[in-house]
Amino acid sequence: MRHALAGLPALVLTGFFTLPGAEAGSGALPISPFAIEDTADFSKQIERDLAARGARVALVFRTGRYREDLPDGVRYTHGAFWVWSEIELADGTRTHGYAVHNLYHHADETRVSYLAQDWPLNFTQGDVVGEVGVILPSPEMQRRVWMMLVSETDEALHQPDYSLLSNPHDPRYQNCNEYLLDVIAAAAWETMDREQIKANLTAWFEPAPIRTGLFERLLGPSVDERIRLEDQRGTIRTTTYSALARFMSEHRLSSEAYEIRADFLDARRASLPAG
Amino acid sequence: MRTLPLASCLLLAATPMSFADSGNPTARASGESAGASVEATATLASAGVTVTGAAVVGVTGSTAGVLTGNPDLVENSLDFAAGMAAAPFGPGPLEVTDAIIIADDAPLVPFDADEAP
Repeated sequence: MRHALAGLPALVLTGFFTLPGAEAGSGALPISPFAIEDTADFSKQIERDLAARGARVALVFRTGRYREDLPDGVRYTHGAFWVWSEIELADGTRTHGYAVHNLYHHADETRVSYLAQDWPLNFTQGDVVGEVGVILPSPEMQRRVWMMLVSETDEALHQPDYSLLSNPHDPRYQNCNEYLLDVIAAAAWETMDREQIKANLTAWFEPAPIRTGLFERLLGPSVDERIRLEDQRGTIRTTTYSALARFMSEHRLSSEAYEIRADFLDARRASLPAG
Repeated sequence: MRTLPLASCLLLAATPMSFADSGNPTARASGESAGASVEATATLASAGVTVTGAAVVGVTGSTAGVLTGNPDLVENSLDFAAGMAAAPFGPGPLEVTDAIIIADDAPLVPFDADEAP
């Protein structure tokens, strides 16, 4: 009977609730379909796109899961700030490129997160579809967010208690997208008071609903410890690329939101023989 | 500056990232990934892509004024380089290096294209 119960979640849970462990157990562990050269090219393509638009700060989103495995309305699973930075190369010369500021959860303690700066290649190595979502904050918002990130003031907004489906109206948990939202909100309202930020977001930010059934609600936390629902009431709601883009656009905090498709996908298609 | 403790020796590892949601792809790797890293770096190098270790340069001290209504932000933001803080955050194009950047604590792995299989 234990085997049957253990297998059940893999059958009934979808989207965020589908677990890598369950997938591995079924022998269908997804892997990135792209060669590292393609991943590197895509990272540089994104950088060049942002640079051409003069973006000193951008919110960029990727998906580490195939779209058909995501809940309706969810296109990306991870978001981070890309910050145009001065970079010192190993030989001491200086150049410019984008540094990526993330909230990650630990690999072992998955309910605990940390902030980390890494690079575009790290980001695209976690992408499995060859497409990213981008939100360009308005110039003034870029300036404010840049100040927070460079001074690491944003650390005051970090909530290490991680939940995959954290409710952005509630301060108890935070995930990568909610961290972005909290920083944006802090910059918009010019406050570092997280309680105040949550009150403001409750009034102004509409999170994305995640449609789940009773089974999923009941079983989710038991099959993935990253799912914690104590901060949810009624419909599960969380921060997504679309919700953030809509919020920032409605309140004139952004100048653009768009998606970038990897060039190598089209190059590969173009190279296929005719017929 | 924030850094990744697991960092760059795993950075180029061709470790599949199947479930990203705030998960760090490099954090999944094990010691075996160092070998994969070397291989991936070599592959990139053979493809004509420059791979370079680097770090974000700490913004050097200055007392550039920060235009914000929040005292905490002002206090915490006083050490910005004047040039950046005063930079026009607008649509003008920016430069980016052609190099593929990895963290500066990456192991220095000599790669000789002539010796590649």
